[in-house]
Amino acid sequence: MIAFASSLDQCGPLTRTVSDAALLLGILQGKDPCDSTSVGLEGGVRLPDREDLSGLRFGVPAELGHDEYDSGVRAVFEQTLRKIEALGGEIAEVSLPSSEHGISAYYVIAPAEASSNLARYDGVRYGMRAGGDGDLVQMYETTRSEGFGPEVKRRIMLGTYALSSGYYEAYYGQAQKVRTRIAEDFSGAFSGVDFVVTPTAPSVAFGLGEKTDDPLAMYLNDFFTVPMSLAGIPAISIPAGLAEPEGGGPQLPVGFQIAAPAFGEQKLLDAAYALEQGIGFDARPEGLDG
Amino acid sequence: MAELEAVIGLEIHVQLATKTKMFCGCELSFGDEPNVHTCPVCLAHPGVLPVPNEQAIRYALQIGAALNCEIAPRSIFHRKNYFYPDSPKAYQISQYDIPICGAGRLGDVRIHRAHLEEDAAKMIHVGESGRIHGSGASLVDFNRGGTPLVEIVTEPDLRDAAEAAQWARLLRETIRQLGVSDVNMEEGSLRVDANVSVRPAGSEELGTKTELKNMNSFRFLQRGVEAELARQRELVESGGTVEQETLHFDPASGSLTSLRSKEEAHDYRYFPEPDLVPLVPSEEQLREARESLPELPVARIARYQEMGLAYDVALTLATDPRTAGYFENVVEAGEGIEPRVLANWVTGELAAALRQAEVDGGAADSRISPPDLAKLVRLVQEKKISHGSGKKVLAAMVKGGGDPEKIVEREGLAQMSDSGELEAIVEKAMADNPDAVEKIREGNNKAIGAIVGAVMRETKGRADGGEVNRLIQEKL
Repeated sequence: MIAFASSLDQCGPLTRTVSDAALLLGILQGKDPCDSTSVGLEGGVRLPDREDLSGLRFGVPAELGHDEYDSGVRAVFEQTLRKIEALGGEIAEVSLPSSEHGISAYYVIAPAEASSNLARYDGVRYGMRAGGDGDLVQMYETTRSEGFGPEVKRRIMLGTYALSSGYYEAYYGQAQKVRTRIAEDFSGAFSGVDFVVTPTAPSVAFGLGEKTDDPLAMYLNDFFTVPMSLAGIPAISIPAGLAEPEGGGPQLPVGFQIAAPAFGEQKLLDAAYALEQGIGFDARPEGLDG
Repeated sequence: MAELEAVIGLEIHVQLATKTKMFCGCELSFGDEPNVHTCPVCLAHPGVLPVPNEQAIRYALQIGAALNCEIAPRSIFHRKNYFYPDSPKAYQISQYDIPICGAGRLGDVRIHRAHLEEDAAKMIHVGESGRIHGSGASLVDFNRGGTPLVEIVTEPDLRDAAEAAQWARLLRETIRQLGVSDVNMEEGSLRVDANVSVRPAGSEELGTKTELKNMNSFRFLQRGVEAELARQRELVESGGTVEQETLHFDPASGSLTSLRSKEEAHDYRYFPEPDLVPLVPSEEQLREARESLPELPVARIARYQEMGLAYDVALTLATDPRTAGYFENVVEAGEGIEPRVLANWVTGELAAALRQAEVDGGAADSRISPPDLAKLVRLVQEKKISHGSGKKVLAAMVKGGGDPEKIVEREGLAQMSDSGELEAIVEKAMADNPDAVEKIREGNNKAIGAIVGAVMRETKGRADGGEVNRLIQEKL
């Protein structure tokens, strides 16, 4: 795994079913002697087999305003909450007041770390080299100007600025404080509920390249998932239903996100499995079977 | 204008003598073929992560304990970002605002901090000077890249160049005796930078400092600081101001050249290293570090001074623990003899005899056992043999060892006890040197040496010098 934003980078399973995710996580997890930040999950990961959600409390953030996501997404999200209740789970309200600053904090921390992690691609030892005719600085500049794409350059510039002398406290330092607050919000919430649930994204998938010219709109797509990464807790997204895009068009899948306290992966997989079975989501287009 | 006072602080990089590098398993080396001790981690290939070297952390804790530093219960690593080919990640993993070792002291100098970091790769600039200016190409040897370093920063407590060099020697000796580094300045396992400024004597404020880089011997350190102090004094006395800059001292020409000014200083964009967890030493690690300390030079010097030794002799012994151990065995065997006298024999006469005989190694490796040396000193102290005969016996012992009493007997070196015989020899010597006798009578006491010398030649050194002097005075 190549480092982008080290304090946020993680490898996770991307699978068709919760059981497959559990199988893969069982292999991925464990203390890696080449990664001093890694730890193993006690007891490993077993295949989930939970059939209902009785005795489990699911927290919905009170701050989840309706204008942050599409109505189609909201319909699927609410329908899923009813499904949780039908399976014996309880829905409660939790408060995550700092989460709304998650995107801002993320887009300072991630580019800052990326600016450092991507600095090794300088043309000296490996990879492409351009303009290497004697002047070291000119070689660095040409190699990096030609080698990186616009989004990567944008993040390197942003991150370098956020770390520079005189701006560090205002940007990187402040973002770290927000990150701590978000983590504290979650641990407060988990004192009353087993999980926190949100839609995975504010809308169904947008067209490829549609938001390239509006990076901020594109970044906002991560609004629901970034707080979990900043807090350092496990989360899973499972398909919960279909919805039309806000502007109309064919229906597309809507994700439902469940987050658990740190090292709560097994509990998370168990609950996600029960919900997955209850929803019975079928991604196949109508008219096809088998 | 008030006299200008020098203010000097040192920054010392110590390469730790671990088996492997700070964050990977590559072997440490010096002088090997370039780029043979490398791996994907220390070459910063995509996708690798650092894993801290436990032994390096132990060594850093030992240095902290030896320098009486406060050890941070939780310190963190930072990234120091800069583009240069000696840094393959384009950042150095170092420590910034929370170093492993905080405030401490060694001798009269306060320690500001000491932290762990990794060394950069070695740049070889192709060209006559070996420096980057005027070089047509540069090569990088990554063998050194990633070597564990402890950087020690002092408070600006030093007041002249000689004092700075002397304290740096004490620090080197302290670290050498811990066994955590080779502390070889020529090979670069100990590197000293100096921060130098001047201010009106008595002022509490610090003047603008310049930084002198990488002086690779204590002599060059002293000369470099002297040169820079002279430059700053002249500048300030002629109404100028010192500019903050980094300087390179060229020992060959004695000149200082600017490497970079304040405006050219890097913005290292430090931030906490996300690839590493905080360093939290356990109680057991802290105890181990404290308990592993040998008696260090500062403590040894103090103890020897209390025993009555002169500072210089105490220092000589403290910087040579094996000879110091030998000395202590001599003291034990020489009960009743002042340790000061025994120390002078060990560091003076014995060291000279070993050099004279071209014997390798120090007193502890010699053929003379501590009890035999004590016995010899006792013979001299009790005036059974003269000091000169003592040296002769010592020379014989250096070659073949043995009991000094037997050597005295064999060589017939026992002090002349028959004063009648000695009297006759003194009389003859005076008669043979009438010029000297005349000069002594005129008040030139130095001339007595010629007569004493003649007596010693005649007696083959067996006469007691004091007695010879007494007899000469008597016969004048």
